[in-house]
Amino acid sequence: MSNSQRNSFISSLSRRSLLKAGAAAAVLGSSGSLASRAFAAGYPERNIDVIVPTREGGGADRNLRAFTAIWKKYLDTNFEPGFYPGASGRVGYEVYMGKYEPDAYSLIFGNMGPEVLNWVVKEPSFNIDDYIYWGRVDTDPGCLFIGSESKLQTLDDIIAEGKKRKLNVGTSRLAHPASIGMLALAEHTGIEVTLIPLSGGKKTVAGAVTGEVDFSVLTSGTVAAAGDAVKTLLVFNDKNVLGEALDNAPTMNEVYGTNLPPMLSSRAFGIHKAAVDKHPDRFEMLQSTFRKVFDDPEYKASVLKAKGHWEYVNYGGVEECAKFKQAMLELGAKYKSYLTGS
Amino acid sequence: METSFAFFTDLFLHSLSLWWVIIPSIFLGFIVGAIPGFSAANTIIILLPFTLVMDVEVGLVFMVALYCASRMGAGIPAILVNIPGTAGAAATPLDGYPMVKKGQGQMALSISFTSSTLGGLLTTVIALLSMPLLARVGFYMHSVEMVVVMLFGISLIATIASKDTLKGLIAGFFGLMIGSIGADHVYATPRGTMGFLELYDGVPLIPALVGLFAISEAFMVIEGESILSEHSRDRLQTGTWHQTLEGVRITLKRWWHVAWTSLIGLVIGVTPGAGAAIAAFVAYQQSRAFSKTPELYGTGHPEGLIAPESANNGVTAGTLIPLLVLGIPGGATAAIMLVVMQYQGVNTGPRLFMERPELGYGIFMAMFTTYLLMAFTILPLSRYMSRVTLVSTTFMSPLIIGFTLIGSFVPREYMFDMYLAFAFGILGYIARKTGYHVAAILIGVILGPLLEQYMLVALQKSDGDFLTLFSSPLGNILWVALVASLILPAFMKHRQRRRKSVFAEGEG
Amino acid sequence: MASTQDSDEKRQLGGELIIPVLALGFTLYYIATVVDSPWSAQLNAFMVGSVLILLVLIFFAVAARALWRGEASLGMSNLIEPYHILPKRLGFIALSLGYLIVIQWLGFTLTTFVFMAASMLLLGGGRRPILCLVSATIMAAVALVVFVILFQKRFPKGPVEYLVQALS
Repeated sequence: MSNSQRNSFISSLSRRSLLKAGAAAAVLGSSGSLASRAFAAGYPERNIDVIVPTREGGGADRNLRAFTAIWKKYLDTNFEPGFYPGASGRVGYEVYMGKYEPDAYSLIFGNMGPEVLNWVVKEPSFNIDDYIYWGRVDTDPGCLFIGSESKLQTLDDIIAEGKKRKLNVGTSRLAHPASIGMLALAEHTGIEVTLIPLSGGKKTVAGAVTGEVDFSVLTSGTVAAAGDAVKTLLVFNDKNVLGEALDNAPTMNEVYGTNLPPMLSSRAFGIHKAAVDKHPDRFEMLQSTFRKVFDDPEYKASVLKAKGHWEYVNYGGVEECAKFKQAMLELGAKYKSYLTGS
Repeated sequence: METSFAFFTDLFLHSLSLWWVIIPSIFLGFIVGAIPGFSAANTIIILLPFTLVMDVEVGLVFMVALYCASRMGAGIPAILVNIPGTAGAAATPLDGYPMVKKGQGQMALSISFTSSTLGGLLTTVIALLSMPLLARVGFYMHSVEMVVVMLFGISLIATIASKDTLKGLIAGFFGLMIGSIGADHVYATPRGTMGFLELYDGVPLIPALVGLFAISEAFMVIEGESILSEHSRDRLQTGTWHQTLEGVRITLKRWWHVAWTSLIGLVIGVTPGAGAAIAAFVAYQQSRAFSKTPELYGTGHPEGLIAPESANNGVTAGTLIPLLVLGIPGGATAAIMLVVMQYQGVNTGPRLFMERPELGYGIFMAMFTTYLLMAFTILPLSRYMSRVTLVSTTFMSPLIIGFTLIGSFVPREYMFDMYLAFAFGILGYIARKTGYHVAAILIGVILGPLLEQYMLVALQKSDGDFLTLFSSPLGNILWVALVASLILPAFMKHRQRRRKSVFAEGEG
Repeated sequence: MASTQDSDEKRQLGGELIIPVLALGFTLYYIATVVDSPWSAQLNAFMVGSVLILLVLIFFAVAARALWRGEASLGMSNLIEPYHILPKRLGFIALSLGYLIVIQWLGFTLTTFVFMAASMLLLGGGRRPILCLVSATIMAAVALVVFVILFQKRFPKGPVEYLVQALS
C-alpha cells in the first residue's frame, strides 16, 4: 500500500466521521413525512402492519424498507413490518390470514414465485383465493450458473456431460421458479439432472463454487451479488436485463427457441380478499398511492443506494399479479410429482 | 499485492488506533453474547442502519469486534449458570459448570477468556498468513466429508454415555430423533411436527438449549441455598486474584491444547455452512479422545473447557475467510458483513485483495487487535462476574427461568418457542433426576439435523448409494481418524492397565 | 424409616422408564408421519428410529429382568425427592407455567414482575419480602427497557406496554 493510499485510508476513519454518521442515521430514522392527505374517509388513521414471511435483515426486508420509505409519503402513514419467518414462508401467511383483521390495515409482503409454488406442494390451512396479490414491486429471474473453477465452463459442456451422466444441480429448494426452469431445460435438451436442495441462496452459491454440485440454479440477484466467484450461463427470462452483472448470459428462449414463461421471484404486496370487498375505497387508495412510488425519483435513488437492481423494479397491479399467481399454480401442477417426490 | 512485514505492522498500528471503535464494541458484544437468544448476527441487523452510514472500515471493524466479543460473552452464562445462550457455547458448560459448582467460577471464567483469546489470536494470525490456502478447504470438504465430521461430534454421545451406556445411548438417540423433527430437506414433507408450523424448520436451537440445560437446572438447584456447596462458597468468597491468575497459568501451560483445538475450529469455520457448535463438540470429543485422563472430563476438567472455547473462537476467524477470499459468506454474521460491503461498493472475493488489500487484511488485523484488547479489558472482570454464583437460589432460579424464557422468545418472536423451552425444561428435569445425560440429548438435537442434511446431499448425489460415503480419499482418511479416535483411548487404557498389572506382578 | 431404606436399596425404575417410554412413543409417532413420504423424508426414521427402538426394547428387557428378580421397583421417588422441597418445586413449576399463560393477558412486563415476585417469595418462604419485590421490579424494568423499548421485540402487550406506547 502506498503512503498516500494509507493516509487517505486513515483520514477517512476519523472519530468525527462516526459521529456524523450516527447523527445522519438518527435524522434518517426520525424524519417523518408531511405529504398531503387524501380521500377515503380518513383512511389510514393508524399505521399499517406489513407481514413479511421471511427473516429480518433479509432481501425482502431491505426491499420493503426502500419501498415503504417512499410510499409513506403518499399514504401519509407509517408501515410497521412484522417478520414471521419459517416453513418457507408458510408461517407468515398463516399468521396474516389467521390473526389479522381484513380491514386494509395489514398487508403481506411476499414472494409470488416460491411462495405460490408452496401451496402446490402442500395446501395451507386457508383458501388460497382468500388473499390476492395486488402490488408487484420487482421481478427477479432465475438463472443457471457455475463456479468460476468448474470443469463445465459453457452450456455446451453441460449438455454434453449431461448426456453422459446424471448431473447434480444445486438449488435453494425444489419448489422454486429457478428449479422449474432447470427442469424445463433438462426436459428440452434431454439431459438428466438431480436437483439438490442446499437450503438457501448462500449455500447454493457455495455449492457451485466449491464443487459440491456440478452447477446451480438460483434467483439472479443473489448470483450477481456473488461477483467473480461464479459465472452465469443462462437466464430464465425474456431478456437478461442485468447484462454485464450476469456475464451477458443469454436467455433460455434465445438459445433453444423455447417458449418458457419467465421464471421469476417476484415480490409483491398482498391483501385479504375480504378487505378488498369490504373496503373498496381503502383498497383504491392503497393502489393509487402505491403506483406513485414508481415514478418518484427518490425511489430509484433509494433502490440504488441499497445496492438493489433498478432493472428489476417492475410495477404490476392486480391483473398482472393474478396472472402470475395462476401461471405459478399451473407450472407447479405440471411438475407436482417431481416437487413432492410422489 | 504487497504483504511484507512492514505492511502488517502498519496495519496493526492502524487497527490499534481504532481502539475507540473496538472497545465499546467489545463491551456491547460481550453483553449481547451473554444474553441468551441474542447473537452478534441479530444485534448487527438491529444496528444495520448505523453500520451502513459509517465509513466502511469503521463499520467492518465494529462488526468484527462485536462478533468476537459476543462469542466470548456467550461463555459466561454457559459457565456460571449453565445457560449456553448460543449453539456455539453448547459444549462449554460440560466442564465449565462443574468447575463453578466446585467454587472455581473465577478460574473457569479466566480459563475460558484466556483460551478464547489465545485461540482467537492464533487462528487470526494463521488466517492472515495462509488465507488463500485455507480458502481451499471448502473445495475439499463436501457433503461426504462433512458427514464424517458430524459423526466426530455425535460420537461424543457414546463417550458421555460411558457411565451407563444404555441410558446414555437412549438419551443421545432420543435427541437425534427430536432433531429430526421438521420438513424434510428435499421435498419439504413435515415430519413429527405434531401439526405445529413453528416446527417445520426443525426444533429451534435456543429453546432446546436453554430448556435442557438451564430451566431444568433451575428446577433442580432449589434443593439447596446456593448452586454452590458450603465449602465452594467459602472458597469463592475468600477468593482473590489468585484464581484468575491460576486460570491464566493453567491455560498457558496447555498452550499446545489451545493451539490444536482452535485449529479444529478454524478448519470447520472455513467450511461454508458448518458452524461453531460442530467445532466445539468435535474439539471436545478430540480433546477427550487424546487425553491421558479422559475420565476427568465432565467433572470440571480444565481441558474440557479449553477445547470448546478455543475452538469456537477459532471458528470466528474461519467464517470470514470464504467471505473475503471467495465472496461466499460462511455464516450468518459473515452474510451481514457481505451486505454492508456490497452496500459500500466493496468487492469481495479475489478482487478485494487486489483492489483494497488494506481492507481485506485489515479485517483480520482488527480481529487480532480485538482479541488483544479483550485480554486486558475482560479478563480482570472474571473475579467480579463469578460472584453471581453466590446469589441465593431463591433469587437465582426465578431469574434463570425469566431470563431464559425471554431469551427463547427473542430470535423468532414466537410464543411457541417459550412453551417449547418450558417443555424441554421439564424433559431435562426428568432426564437429570433419572440419570439420563442432558448433554447427550442436546448433541443429538443440535448435530442430528446437520448430519441428516449432509447425508441427504451425499446420497442424492449418488442416487442413494450408501457406498458413496466411502468414495472420497479425504473422507476415508477422516473415517480412519474417527475410528482411531474412538478405539485408541480404550486401547491405551487397556494397555496402561496391563502395564500396571505387569508392573505390580513384577513387584510382587 | 425402614421402608425408605428399603426403597433406597432397590433401583427405582419407575422414573427411569419415563424417558424410554417417551422416546418410544415419539419414535412410533414420527414413523407414522413419514410412512407415506418419499425416501429422503424416511431416512432418519430408519437410521435413528430403528436403533432407538432397539435400545429402548433392550432397556425394557433389562428392567423386566431386574423387576423379576426383585432388584428393582417401579417406584418414582428418585424423580420427586427430596420430599420436603416438593411443594416448593411444584409451586415453582406451576408459576413458570402460569407465566407462559398469563403473559397473553397481563402483557410481558407485568407478568414478568408478578412471576419474579411470586416465585422469589415462594422459594424464600416469604422471607425478605421487600428485597423480593425490589428485585422483581428491577428485573421487569430492565426487561421492559431492553427488550420492548430498545430492541422492540414483539412480546405480548399489557397495561405497562400500552402505557409506554402512549407516552412515547
